[in-house]
Formats: sequence, C-alpha cells, structure tokens
Amino acid sequence: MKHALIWIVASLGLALAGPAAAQLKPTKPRAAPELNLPTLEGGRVNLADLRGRVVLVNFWAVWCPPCRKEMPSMERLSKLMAQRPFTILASNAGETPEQIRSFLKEVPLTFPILLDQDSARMKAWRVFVLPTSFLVDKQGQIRYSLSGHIEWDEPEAVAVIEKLLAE
Amino acid sequence: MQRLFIAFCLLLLAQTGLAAATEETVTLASGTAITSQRYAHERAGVVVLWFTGQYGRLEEEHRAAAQLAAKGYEVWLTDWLSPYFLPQVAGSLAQVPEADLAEWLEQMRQHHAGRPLVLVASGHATTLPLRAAAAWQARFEARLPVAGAVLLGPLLYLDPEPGEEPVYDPVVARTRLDLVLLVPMSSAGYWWREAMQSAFEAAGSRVHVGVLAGLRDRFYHRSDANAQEQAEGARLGEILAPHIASLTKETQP
Repeated sequence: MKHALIWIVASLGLALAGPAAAQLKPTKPRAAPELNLPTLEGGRVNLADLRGRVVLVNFWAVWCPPCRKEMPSMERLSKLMAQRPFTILASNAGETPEQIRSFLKEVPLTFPILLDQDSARMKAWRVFVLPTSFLVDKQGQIRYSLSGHIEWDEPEAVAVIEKLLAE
Repeated sequence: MQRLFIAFCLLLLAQTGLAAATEETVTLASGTAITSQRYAHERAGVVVLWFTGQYGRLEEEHRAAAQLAAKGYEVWLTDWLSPYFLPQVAGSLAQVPEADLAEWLEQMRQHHAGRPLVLVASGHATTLPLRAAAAWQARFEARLPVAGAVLLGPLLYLDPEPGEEPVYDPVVARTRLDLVLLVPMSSAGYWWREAMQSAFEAAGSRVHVGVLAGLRDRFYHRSDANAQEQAEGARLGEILAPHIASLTKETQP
C-alpha cells in the first residue's frame, strides 16, 4: 500500500512536471560539417561562405510539432538580429517543397530553408532527434548545441548569441 | 483505476465486436506478480507477448491485441512498470529487473510449450523484450524460445547528444534474434534505420526493416494525430499481423 501510494505520487509529480526543458549546451569547439544545400527559393547556401557570421543551424521537419513551435521565435530572433552578422539556416529533413510551402502559409519565415532531401546532411551532423540546433561561431566552429525546442528570442538564448557575436 | 480501465476496454471491445481479455497473473521467484491481459483465440498457434511501455495500458494497444486475436493469435499484453511501482517515464524501463524478465519469459515458454512466441513492443519499451530474450539466453544457455520480435518505432539510443556518434542501449549488442523494425517515415529514426539495422546485425541478429509511410512515432497514441494516423492507429493489429507471421514463417497463424 505504501509502495502504491509512493508510485501514485511520483507518477503524478512527473506528469505535472512534464519533460525537462531543453537548453543550449556548450560543446567542445569543433569544425562544423559541410552544409551546402539548395534552398526552397531556388538558390543555394554554403555554410563555408558564412565565415565571419554567427550561424544558427536548425534541423527540422514539418511533421515535428516542437519544430513548428519554435519557428516563430526563430523568425523573431532573425528580425532582432537583422543588422548583425548573424544568420539562421533551417535545414529540412527530407520533405517536399510543397509540404514546406504549405507550412509557410501558416508560419511565414524569412530566413533560408535548406532542402536536405535525403537527409545526408542531418546524418553528417549526427542529428538523432528533431528539432536539433547548433550555434556555429564566426570561425566555423560548433560552439553550442540543443536537442529540442526553445524560445530563441528569450534573453538566455540571445545572451549566448551575443557572446559569440562579441568574440 | 486499473479495474475501471479494464472495464472501459471491455465495453469498447464489446462495441467493436472484438475479443475481450482475461487477466492472467504470473508470480515470479522474486515475489513480484506480473499481470497480463490475455486476448485468446481458440485455435491460436502463435503467442504474441506484447510489452507495454511508459504510457501504461493504452486503449489503442488493447484494440490491436484484440485485432490480432481475431486473426488467430493469442496475445499477452503486459505492463512492466506498475508491478514495481515505477513512475510512468521512459527512464523507468531500465529499472525492470532483468532476472524477472527472463524468468517470466521462461514461464511463458513452459506455459505455451511447443508454440512459437513472438515479442512485440514500441518506442523506448523495445528494450524490454530484448532484455528479456538476452537475459533468458544468458541464464538458460539454450536456444532462444522465441521466433523473433517486432519492434515498432524502436527508440534504443542512450541520450543521444547532437553531433556525437550514437550510443545504443547495450542490449542491442546482446541481441541475437530475428527482428522486424517498423520505422515511421516521419521520424528522425527513419533516417537512422540502416544504422540501427547494422548495429543489430553486427551483434548477430537477422533484421528486416519496414517503413510506415506518412506516420510519426507513436502514431496510434498521439494527441495531435492526423486523419491518416488515426486511421492507421485504428488498424494497428492489422499492421503488425503480417510482420508477426513473417517471423513464424507462416501465412496463417
């Protein structure tokens, strides 16, 4: 009976607490893998051409609810940083342009959407859950990573980006 | 609460014309009582041992078990967390004692002597049947008593870190089974299915990978399930049946 009560209380507590909040984690600096992909708009973006800028590389899919949830905050962050050497690249995992455009009708985004149609880049970057994000510094080194979604325009995330911009 | 749930399932199944479950309890040497919901078919040959996970008893899994019973399988649907008063989170699955899993599997083998056993689980809970089979083999040093396992959307990484090589649950390297991995196409696991297949094969398992087009992880139990997921979730038993049959080399159970 005592065990049963502890179990009920523990389960209730866990249910109310929900999953642990995701957060940006500093990583041992390492060179970012290649990211050279076509964009939804018909161009092409190569991460290597963005040296001197801090880059948020985000791996996402339309089918992924937490990915969709964080996208508006990424758009706000993009606008907040519009005059700074900062770029967001959102690499889509294997969906069709039609599927992505359908989502963009609901959530308009102005930063580049990259088409990783066979998810080869997602694998090269060792991404196992979506969304996953990386902050790449001005020298092309991965400095922070994140599994899960956050509000990218909240002070904690902006402070990390500002720190990288100040280097 | 448990009785209320079972009553609800019985009512639901009565409305759908599907078989109702009986409750079966196996008491292990540790004193732990493992209770299963048994969906029977009078001419069943193959016995399906379905290990439920951190979501407890799901209506959708019971409906699938009843569908399998209607197709001629006997299904034992077993919750492994509540017997140990473990919280319903994925992290609890590792705390289920392996000795108990192996002993329970042995009791199932004896109870169903001569009949093929097929193990089924989904998501994080896929660790349970694999641990049961590996521990059984280590303890009894004999041919595994199971025809194989169907793993639905297996989640067998140990806290994957972005940018790092994947570390699989150690049970992957201890598994020597015939496996069917059913991977939802709209999942990160879809893109890593070949890596998981290779990890199992390197350990000595034979693996077939099936892709579930247009579906996400836990498609049969999602609050945001779309129309396709709802439709496919409603026929989960029918989705699993051919894969169970493939493991037993039978077209008819």
